[in-house]
Amino acid sequence: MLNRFSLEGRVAIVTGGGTGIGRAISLLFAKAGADVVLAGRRLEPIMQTAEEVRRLGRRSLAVKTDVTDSAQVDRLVEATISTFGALDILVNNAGIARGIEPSPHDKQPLPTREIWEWTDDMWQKGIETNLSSVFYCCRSVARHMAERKKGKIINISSAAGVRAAKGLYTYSTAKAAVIMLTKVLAVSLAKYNIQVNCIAPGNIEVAEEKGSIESYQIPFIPMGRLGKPEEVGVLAVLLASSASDYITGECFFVDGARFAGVLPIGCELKPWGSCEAL
Amino acid sequence: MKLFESFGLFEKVILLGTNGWGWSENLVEALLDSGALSVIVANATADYEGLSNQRVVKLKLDFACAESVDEMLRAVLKNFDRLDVLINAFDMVLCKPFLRITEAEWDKVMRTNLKAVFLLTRVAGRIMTRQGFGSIVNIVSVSGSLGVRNAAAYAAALGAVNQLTRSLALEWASSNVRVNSVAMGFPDGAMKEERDGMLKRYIPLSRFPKFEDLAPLVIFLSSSASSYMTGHVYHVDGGLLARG
Repeated sequence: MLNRFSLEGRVAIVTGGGTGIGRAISLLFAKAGADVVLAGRRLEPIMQTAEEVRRLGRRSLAVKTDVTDSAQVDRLVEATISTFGALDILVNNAGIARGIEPSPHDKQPLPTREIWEWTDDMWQKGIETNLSSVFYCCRSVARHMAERKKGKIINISSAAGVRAAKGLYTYSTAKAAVIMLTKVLAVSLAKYNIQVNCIAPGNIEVAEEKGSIESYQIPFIPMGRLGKPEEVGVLAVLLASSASDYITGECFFVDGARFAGVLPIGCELKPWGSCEAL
Repeated sequence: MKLFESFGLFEKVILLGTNGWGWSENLVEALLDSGALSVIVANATADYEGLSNQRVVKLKLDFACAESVDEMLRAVLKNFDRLDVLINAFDMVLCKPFLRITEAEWDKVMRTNLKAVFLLTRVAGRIMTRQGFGSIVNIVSVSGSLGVRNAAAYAAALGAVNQLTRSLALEWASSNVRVNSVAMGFPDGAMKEERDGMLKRYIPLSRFPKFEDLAPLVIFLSSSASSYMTGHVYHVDGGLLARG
C-alpha cells in the first residue's frame, strides 16, 4: 500500500522551490524518488535546493525564471523536457506580492490601504504574480502531459483564497481564482488523465520569518501552532503520486483547523432555546 | 525509506466502525498492510468470515443501544494501552421522495449513518483527548456536501457527520486530536441501471471509484503525515464536485 506514494522515476517542476514551502516540497519529492527542477527569480536559493536534491541521490536543475513572464515559463518547461526527457508533475508554488498589501506572512498587521488608494499597476502586479503565473505554467505543461496521457498539477493557493481578510485585495482574489482555475483545469484536462488539485495552507512557519509571526497568528489557530512547510510537502507527495489518481479538482486545507469554524477561539456559544432546560 | 514511514500506520491501534460497508474488509487489509498493530472492527451487522488474523479483533455492536456500545468498546479497548485512530465507515442509503419517508425510516437512516458515528466518536474521543493524540477519519459520500434528489435523509445525515468533523476538530485541536472526512464519489451501480452510463460520462475522470482510489487518502489522514490537517472534508470523486 505505502508504495502507492512513491514518485520513483517521475520528473517534477516546483516553482518558488528555493525557500519555504517550495523547498520542502522539492526535498520531499526527492525523498519520494523524483527528479526535481527548481524555478525561481533568484538563482542562489534554487541552486542551494538543487544541491540538496542531488545529495538525496536525485537529479536536479535550477532554472532562473520569472513566472510572470510566459516566455520564461515556456523556456523552463522546454529545458526540463530536454534535460530529463519528460515532465510528470508541476507544482505552482511561486507567488506572494509582499509590500503591496498585508500578507499572511507579515510580522504584525500592516495598516490596510483603502481601495481608492490602489493604482491599476498595484492591482495588476498582484494578480499577475499570484494568478497569471499559475495560468502560464499550467498552459505550458498541459500539452506535453496531454500527449503522454498522464500528469499531476498541484497549485498552492491559500486559506486566504477562501476566507477574506481586510485589505487583501489582490492576494485573496488571486488565490480564490487559483482554486477555481484548479477546478476548471481538472474538468477540462480529465480526459487526458491529468489530475489537478490545490492546497490551501493556513499559517505556515517559514524559516526566515520564524518567531516573528508566531505571537500574532497563533491565538487564531485551534491547533495552537503554525504548520511546518513539510506538513504541506507530504500532502503534495500524495497529490503527485498515483495514490491520488481519482482525486481531482479538490482544494485541500492544511490549516490546523483554523478555517474549519465560524467563531474565533475564545468565543463560546451559550445554550439558548429549549436546550436551556437540559 | 524514512518518508514512507510517516505515511504508514506502524504500531497503531485502530478502531474501525462500520455497518457492513462494502469495502470494510479491503480497508482492514489495507490498514494491516500499512503497518497497523491492531484493528478492532466494530460492526453493526454480521461478523466477517474472511478476517481471521491475530491483529484483528471483531466486535458486533448494536448501535440502537448506546449503553451496550459504550460498555463493550470500553471492555475491549482496556486491552490496549492507547487508541491511535478511529475510522467511521457507515453507509446506509435511503432513496425515496422526502414526503414518503416514514418516521421509522428517518430514524434508521439517522441511527445508522449519524448516531453510530456519535457513539463511537464519544468513546474514542474520551480516550484520545486524555492521551493527547489521535486521528479520526469519517468516510462519507459526496452526498453530504451537496443536495441529492430523493435522498434527503441520507444527505442530511452525511452532512451532519461532516459538521461533526468540523466541530470536533475545533473542540479537540488543543488535545492534538484531529478529525477529517473523506467524501467518496458514487460507486459503480449506485444509480438506477440506465442512469449509470449517464453518470459515468458526467464524472470528469469518466470512471467510478475503486477501493484503491479511496484507501491512500484514508491512510494518509490516519497517519502522522497529515499532522496539520484537521477539520475539513476532502473529496475523492474523480472531479464530480468540481463540476457540480
